[in-house]
Amino acid sequence: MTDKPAGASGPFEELLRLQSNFQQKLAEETLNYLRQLQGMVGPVVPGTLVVPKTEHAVSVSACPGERAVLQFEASNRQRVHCLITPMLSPLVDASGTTWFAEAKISPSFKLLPADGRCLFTIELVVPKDISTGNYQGACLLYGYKDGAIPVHVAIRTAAKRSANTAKKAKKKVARKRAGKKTAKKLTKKRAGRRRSNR
Amino acid sequence: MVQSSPTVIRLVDLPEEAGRTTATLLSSLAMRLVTLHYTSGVSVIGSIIAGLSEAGREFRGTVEGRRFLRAFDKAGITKNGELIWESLRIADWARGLPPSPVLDHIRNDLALLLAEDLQEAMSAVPLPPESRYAGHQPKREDANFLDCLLGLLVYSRELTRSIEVLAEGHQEDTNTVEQHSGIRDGDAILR
Repeated sequence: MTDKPAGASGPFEELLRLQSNFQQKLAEETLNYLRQLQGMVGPVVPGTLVVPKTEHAVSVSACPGERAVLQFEASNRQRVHCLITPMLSPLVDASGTTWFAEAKISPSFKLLPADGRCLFTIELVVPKDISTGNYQGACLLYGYKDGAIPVHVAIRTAAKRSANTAKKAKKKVARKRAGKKTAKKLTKKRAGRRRSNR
Repeated sequence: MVQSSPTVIRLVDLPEEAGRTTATLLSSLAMRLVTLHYTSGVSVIGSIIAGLSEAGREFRGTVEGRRFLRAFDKAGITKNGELIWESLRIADWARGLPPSPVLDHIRNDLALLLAEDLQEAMSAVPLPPESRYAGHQPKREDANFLDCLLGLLVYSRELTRSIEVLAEGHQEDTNTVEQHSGIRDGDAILR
């Protein structure tokens, strides 16, 4: 009868090993479950919700090498003081280009009393070598529920931007002229009605 | 320089809650202190670690947070920190526990210090403390070394700035001289 080689385990040892693993796992899961139970009911810590007044993002258009300033105004509608710490997320273009913007946020930290208001500015330095596109991200109001304000920065070349601004200016003039024409028509109609009423 | 037109946002109370008033903040603080009496130290520390990690996770999504993470990598501390974290099983302390809203604690306590009606709130009939039934908790990411480190940074910054802002505008000039009645001629401190 030969001796069993060292390291070989019989069925009984295997059973013991499995049982001790099971017991260990059971103890761990029980402890986790008890911890979860402990956290199920707890005191409420009153918080703050950020509500944007409109669905629009904070947006600006800029050229490479320029400085762009984003602004938002925070209004505290709670009955006690609020602390605001705005922070900027990375800005991402649809092509996947990520811009970790050098941003100067002013003020970087503000204590707002009840019904207080404060204007925050985020000054971005647009890199000279950035590719054009629509960069999207968020300004995070740190620690608040839904505390993110969407941010859009459109990077255009100088020529394209001046063409866009010229288009916008033309549209504005056309609207004004159309407005004047309709105003003239209306006054003529009213004058006509007055004559007929006499 | 190009500028956007300002967007307006409002900071309001959470729906289905009593809201942030002096009375509710006082009640919440009292409950937190009472809860300490029947909670073990391990659970408290675990909840704080989970809360700091959650704060760090939020900070990680910002430009400044990413900058710090890259700096930690370059400094070479990430590897050591994670090794300590795993070998001492620090994450196990936080696993399963609700994260403590560490930043809300600072902000609410600061608001209490600045409340003008604190005396009235204390002398009024005590509010029954609001408690929340969490129900089924969503599965959370385990606390890790880097998130906890970032959370500590943000927490300490918020705490320091909050205390500094309390004294803002009321600090006296430095390099002043004060006259005291002190020791007169002939008196001795030690006899």
